[in-house]
Amino acid sequence: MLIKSFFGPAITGLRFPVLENIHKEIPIRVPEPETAFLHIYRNGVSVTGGIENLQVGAALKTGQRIAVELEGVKASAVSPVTGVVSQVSGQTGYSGKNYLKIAVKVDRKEQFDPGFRKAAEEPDGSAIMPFLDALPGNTDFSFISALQKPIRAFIVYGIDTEPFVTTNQFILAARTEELRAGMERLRPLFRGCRIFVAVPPYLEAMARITRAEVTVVEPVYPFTLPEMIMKKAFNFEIPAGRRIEELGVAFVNAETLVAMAEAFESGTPGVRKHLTVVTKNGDAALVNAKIGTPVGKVFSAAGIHTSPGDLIVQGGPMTGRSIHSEDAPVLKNTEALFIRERAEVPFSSDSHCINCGECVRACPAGIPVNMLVRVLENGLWEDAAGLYDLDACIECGLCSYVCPAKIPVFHYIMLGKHEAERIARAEDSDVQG
Amino acid sequence: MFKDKYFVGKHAPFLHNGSSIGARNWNAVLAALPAVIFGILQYGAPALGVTALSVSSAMIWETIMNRLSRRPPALTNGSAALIGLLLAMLLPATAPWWIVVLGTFIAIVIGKEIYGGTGCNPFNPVLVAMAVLMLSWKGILDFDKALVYFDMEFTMLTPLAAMKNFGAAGAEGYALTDMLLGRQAGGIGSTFGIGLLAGGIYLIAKGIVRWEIPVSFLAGAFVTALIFKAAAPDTYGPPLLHLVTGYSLIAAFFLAPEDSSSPVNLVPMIIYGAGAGFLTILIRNIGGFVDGSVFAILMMNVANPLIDKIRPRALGKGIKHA
Repeated sequence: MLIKSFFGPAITGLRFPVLENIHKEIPIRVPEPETAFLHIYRNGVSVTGGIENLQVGAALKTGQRIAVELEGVKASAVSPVTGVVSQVSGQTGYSGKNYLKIAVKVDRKEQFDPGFRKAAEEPDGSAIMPFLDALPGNTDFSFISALQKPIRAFIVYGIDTEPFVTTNQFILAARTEELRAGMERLRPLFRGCRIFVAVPPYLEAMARITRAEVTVVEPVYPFTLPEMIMKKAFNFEIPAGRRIEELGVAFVNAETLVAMAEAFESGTPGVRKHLTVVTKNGDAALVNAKIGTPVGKVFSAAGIHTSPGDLIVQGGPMTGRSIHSEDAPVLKNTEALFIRERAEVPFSSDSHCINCGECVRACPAGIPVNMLVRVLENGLWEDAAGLYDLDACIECGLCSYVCPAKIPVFHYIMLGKHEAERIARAEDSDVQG
Repeated sequence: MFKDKYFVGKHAPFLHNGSSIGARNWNAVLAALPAVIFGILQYGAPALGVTALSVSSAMIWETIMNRLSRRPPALTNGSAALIGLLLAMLLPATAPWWIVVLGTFIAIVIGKEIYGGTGCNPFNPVLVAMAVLMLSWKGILDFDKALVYFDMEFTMLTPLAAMKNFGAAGAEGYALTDMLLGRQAGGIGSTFGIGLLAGGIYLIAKGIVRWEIPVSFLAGAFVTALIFKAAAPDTYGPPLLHLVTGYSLIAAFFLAPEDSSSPVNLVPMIIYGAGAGFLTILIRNIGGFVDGSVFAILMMNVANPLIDKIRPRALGKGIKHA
């Protein structure tokens, strides 16, 4: 699966398998859980509208918008279930990001909240944005609709970013009509935007049905990541350290648009999502679960057995996050669950860098990873950012993948980014103070 | 508490291509074996003795240093074994035991471990040891003196010494095919050209050695020798002979591409290789030593951190649009 270049640098990649019959897959439907867990992160922009301080015992309806204040920053989510809040707690997640964890005891009698329908009727599109944020996928609609510069182009993911994951490919192949309807819903919200759909070659004909502009992307990781699609397909480099959205381009999952079409159709925002579960022996199964379902329920519905000490990854095998408990929920951006036996987990070592240069040749961003890891190992965060292009990293993880010394390079890079950001913030507040 | 099922934690990525430091080093040992076995067959028991002593003493020094510096034992990654083997390949079969043990001491302890172990050495440890030995015990390391009691079917005068002393006339009588087949005097593992080439190609095919360094080394040496030859045809030996004798091939495929002391970017690799090739011929033709590879590569090792700064622009850096 690994391809490597003999002559030039940066053509290392992981090729995806071709899935000719993906549209015939029938996802396993995971039943509604007894308790659903929601993780609410801060939004890119502050939330407008009424703030409720969510209390234990509060009743929620499916599709009801929850706007909460979390350590001074407003955040919002949409309840995927009907039930009663049984627990609210502040948590610290990956890279020190704070989020609110809400447990909801699910009521079997599902009731739907009219909030989405009301917001959809308003002529101003801004009321609908917080609902769209909660749709399955990763697009921050509130953020992009509030940008100074309007979004000129949407790129729809009809390919998945990581190998093994088939979620978006399945949606494009099996739900082509709904995807087209979703695109029609998107156009009036962002007037004048162009819509491209990025697909692997074997799905090109399917993608044409949507009538969007089709961009064929070689199904080779990391060339499926947004930064690489922009560079390879559109010959457009995103300046290091800036968000793609600031340049007027937004990426959106095929599933997000399908859910958007359904939401406008039914009046309730979509609260189910598809995800690929990659089992210990490498088989992939598609499941359909409610957002907030604990992953343990997904495994039991899919007939997958896990044991203590296994590795469970929320997300794909290259950039996902390992979780320690089966209670961790399916999040709105969980495209996959990846399971490995402990013996097969490639744990890191504390060896020195041997300067073999594999990471430098693998890096799609052309970063001198061999030098970067030396300064990061020694905590020289400012040197990492200033001298060795830390901010150009597109977070693909190939450096760790190819490292013969098994140095946790990707981990060091993410730590470095976190620390560099912290230093920058501290300097800002010094200036203001 | 314990009724909960807990999973292991790790940062992404959760896949690995299966490469390891050990695999790289043991593959290099494997690639060096044809040349070593040829040398042992040619020179017999003394060569076997030197090789065995060199590998084992290198591994013992490594173990001692691991203990002293309280680092986890690193024997299994093959680094010490490879250093010992490469040093033996450069030595004459008659090298006394204390030269071998001292050589591996310099290579492992002074060349590598005091900098922090595998991956931290700024110079190729084998070459550090060779340089010290060559400067200190000239007579023992001089193949024409060392191998004087060996009588083979070929000229026992090394081609490089012949060229140094007799100019172009000295090169007559040395056929390229003989050189490639190992029919020349020299180090235990540095004379069998075909074996070294096969090992080098194996390492390149495996992706352990990048082709840029060996190719540019040989090209740099060839072009430099060609220029010398064109300038003074009577004084200097033929360029192709330079490539297949002395330490040229072992330097190109096994010594110059040593990971820690060589560059990783494309253009620097070519500058480094070509520079080492150029200096090799410069030392051979107008310098004070018969073979220049050892000092040439050491000098390029010094320049490595500087030349490796030449690198491509990173993604999204230095662009102003939008």
